[in-house]
Amino acid sequence: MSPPHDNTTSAAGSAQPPDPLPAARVSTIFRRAAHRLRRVYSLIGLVVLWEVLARFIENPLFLPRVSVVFGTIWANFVSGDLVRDIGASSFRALTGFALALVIGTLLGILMGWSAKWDNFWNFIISFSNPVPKLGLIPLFILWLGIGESSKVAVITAGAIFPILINTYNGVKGVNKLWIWRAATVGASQVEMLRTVILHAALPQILSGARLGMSVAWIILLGAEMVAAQVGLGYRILYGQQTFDTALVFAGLITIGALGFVFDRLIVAISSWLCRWYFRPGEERAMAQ
Amino acid sequence: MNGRPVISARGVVKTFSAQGQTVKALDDISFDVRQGEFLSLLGPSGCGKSTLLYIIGGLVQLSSGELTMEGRRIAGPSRDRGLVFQEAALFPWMTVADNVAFGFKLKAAGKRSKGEIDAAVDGLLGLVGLKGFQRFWPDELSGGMKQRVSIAACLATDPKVLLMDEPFGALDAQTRGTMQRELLRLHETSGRTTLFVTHDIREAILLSDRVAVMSARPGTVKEVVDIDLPRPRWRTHQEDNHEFLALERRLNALLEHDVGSSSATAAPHAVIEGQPAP
Repeated sequence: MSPPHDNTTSAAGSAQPPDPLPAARVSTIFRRAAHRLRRVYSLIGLVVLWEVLARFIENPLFLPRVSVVFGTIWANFVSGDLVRDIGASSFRALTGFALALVIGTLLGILMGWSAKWDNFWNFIISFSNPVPKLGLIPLFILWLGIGESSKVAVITAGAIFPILINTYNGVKGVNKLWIWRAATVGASQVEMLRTVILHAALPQILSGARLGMSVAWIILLGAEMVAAQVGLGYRILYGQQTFDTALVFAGLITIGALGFVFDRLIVAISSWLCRWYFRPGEERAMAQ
Repeated sequence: MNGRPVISARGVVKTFSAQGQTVKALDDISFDVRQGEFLSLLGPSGCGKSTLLYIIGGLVQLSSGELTMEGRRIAGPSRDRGLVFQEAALFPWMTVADNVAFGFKLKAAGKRSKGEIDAAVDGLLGLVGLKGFQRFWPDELSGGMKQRVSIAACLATDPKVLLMDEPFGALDAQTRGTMQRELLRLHETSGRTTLFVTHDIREAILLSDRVAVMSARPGTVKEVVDIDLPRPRWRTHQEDNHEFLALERRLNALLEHDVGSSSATAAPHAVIEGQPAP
């Protein structure tokens, strides 16, 4: 079984030492770390450029220094304002997103599967999709009041479309043979949707979720700027009103960081749930 | 081999409409599939033999005519009629074991314990020569192995009739030969009624009790030829004997005659597509 000149990992049991190439292994680890860092270079470059520009301009109202912005983030964090803002904003974005995910996936599957549902909803979707969702804020405030529900509702209204449309396309594209195979072994409609269609369309559903999540953060900001006493959108607006440019930047950076974390979370969940779809090569492509 | 008919087709017609034109794909198809027999539908590409199989499977609606299984009209798919497709239609998000167990876990299969299902899956995988492959993913298998899994998954519902749509068409010659022997063994030990679609004359002779030869455009059953080679055949090699070669010549002539006649009327590309294997 073991060829004499085998220098791969299957060399165990031969006369060679158990770990013949430690240097190669270390360099592999180093190369992987360097590969990951490659994406950070550009970010570091941007921060340096910003700091240089800020020092050159010397006008904190226009462009505060990086150190001042991070100082503001830290101060707000210590005072508890930032934590409350993040909490309020995350609650709104995630609640709105979760509702959009449930409704969008269900409706998308039903529309993709049944011509009746498709016919009923298709024009409604085409009409309401391009309506700017921020324009719904006044309406939702009239309907639901100025509290949390109007904000969550407008986020749901925005995030639902990319999820629904991706799910619909995913269901439409399910391999016909899979459907036929399930039908010939006696799957009921519900079993078909749950065991075949949902799984087969999951990669598209999750790619819709990724888009929906970013839409949720975009709309959240607008909603919080119109009517809120806490939240990152409110904080940014407050920074503008008090001529605190550093606070505006602090809010924007925090939103970027939160959006980044949730986006990576969805990517990680996708590539775990859809291991069959994202083979190693594709997984890396998706993560880029 | 004079079993009672399990599936009966009487005057089955299938037409497709596209862009205002109606094309007759199948015309006046009449034949029986008898209890326990292995019947092949042999015909050139594009003769509608796969469509006919899907109609019998209940996946495609017929346009007119009568199609019954054990006296009842076929209106949709059923666990009584298992289908093996040309491309292995395995679910890539399920392991081999889960793919095979799919038919067991549906409501139509009744309640079974996990232990019962596992044992049944082991048995079926053993039957197709894939013991120990339970935890593999479909992507990790070769084409032949995938098709073995498909057959095992299809047998999970214990169908009365096995419908197979050129199941070995996408395999290399070596693997195809092995799979044909395996199928012979399965058929000859279980006696399950099988309807097998192929364009390969030698494959049809090797496997079948009877071969229904189809002509193209519109597809119709031209003649049903008895294959009187002795069974069991899975251990023996008889592709070179006199009877086998005589049958091959006869089926070849039937198919060639058809290709010649259809070229004179319409659809010249059917001649190229329908060229029987030499």
